[in-house]
Order: sequence, then C-alpha cells, then structure tokens
Amino acid sequence: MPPENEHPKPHQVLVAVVTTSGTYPPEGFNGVPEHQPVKVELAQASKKLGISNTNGWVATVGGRELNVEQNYIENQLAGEVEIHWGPREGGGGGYR
Amino acid sequence: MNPVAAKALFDLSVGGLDDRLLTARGWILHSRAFPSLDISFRSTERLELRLRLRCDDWNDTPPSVDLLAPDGGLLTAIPTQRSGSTIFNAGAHARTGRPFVCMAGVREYHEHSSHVGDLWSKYKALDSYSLGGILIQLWRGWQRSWP
Repeated sequence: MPPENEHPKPHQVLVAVVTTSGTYPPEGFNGVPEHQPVKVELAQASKKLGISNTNGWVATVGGRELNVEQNYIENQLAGEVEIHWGPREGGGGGYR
Repeated sequence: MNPVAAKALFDLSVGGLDDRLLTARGWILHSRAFPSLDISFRSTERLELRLRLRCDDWNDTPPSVDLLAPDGGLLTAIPTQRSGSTIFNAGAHARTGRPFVCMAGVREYHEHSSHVGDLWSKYKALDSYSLGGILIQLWRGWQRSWP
C-alpha cells in the first residue's frame, strides 16, 4: 500500500514511527484511526523493522512522552505525527 | 570479534540512521566509517554535544565513547549538568583521564571499578543496546541533563 502522505481522512491521524533501526513507513505516513491505541502502530513498526525486544522503550512526540495504551486523541495528537520510539536514557553511575 | 564480522554488524546497525531520523532529531552525522561513528546532537534548547563511538570489536565489546567539542576536539571538562543525575561523569576516567559517559552499553562504564561486575554480555543481545539503541540512550541523556 502506498504511503498516505497528504491529508488525514476524517477520524484518522497520519503516523510515522522513527527508530534507529529505520522509519515505518519508510516514506510518508500511515493513516490510522484516531481512536486506535498508539501501541498498535508501534507493534506494527517493530514487526516491519525487525525489532524484537522493546521492553522499557518510550514513545515521544516533540519531547513529550506518550501513553501508548491510550489512543491518539487521548494523547492530544492530530494531523501528521512523527513518533520517536526507543530505549530510555540508560542507567549508570549518576555522578555529577 | 572477527574484524570482518564486526564491520558487518556495525554497517548493519548504522544503516538504520536514515535522513528522516537524523533530521527529525537534530543529529548531524559526520562519519559512519567503521570503526567510528561520529555524530553531533543539536537543539536550540541546549549546547551541542559531539560524540565519537569507537566500535572496534563490536559487538563483543561495547563502544568507547569520546565526548567532543563541536569542532571535534576532545572535551577535557564538561559543563555543569542541569539535573543532578546524569550519565555524563565529570571525573577523570582511569584509562582516558577525561570525562566520560557512565552508562551501561559504553565501554568506559563497564571498565569502571564501580561497574566491572555489570557485564556487557548481559546487554549485548538486547535491541536497546544495538548501536542505534545506545545512541538514542545517549541522546536522551543529553536532552535531560546537558545545559
């Protein structure tokens, strides 16, 4: 299916998931229902990009962390959305 | 790790750093020629940080990370961090004598006397500790604490 990169249809959000393993979809955006939980598109991205272990990963838009159990409306997302998805900052010594 | 295999793994990992990702995150890729990944993090909200990940023996050994000034010179001191907890250690590392990244997935961390028991082998198979995964952890650390 070609990427949907124009305008979202009614009750849709245009979504791209950006990871360091690649971007899904590779070009443009996928149109997804605005009432669909964010985690659904993340699961699709992990499958397509060959990412097997996403425990502890965080999804952000504009630096704001999303609740991936909630849908796009609940996360206050509309239009074209690039979700940055990846591991949290690692643990370490925590020295000053 | 066999050098040919190390290069193949390195090339596979850095191949995911596409233009869309780099543009969206404000990452400037200076070089990704094995064994080094040279990259800058830029934002209008904080000072630029340039990093060089030296990935010889990847992934039997985690990358060694050099903290660099924007012009590529080695940092001998780091700015005061915005938050108390940070992955950036202002102290001199025993091997390099310079500030370093104290985070699992970074060679200087696993070599540090406080963390030698936290073995890289626990992490190396996890997607969060691919080269890209380590890179994004470094980026989030920079976002959180770098001034």
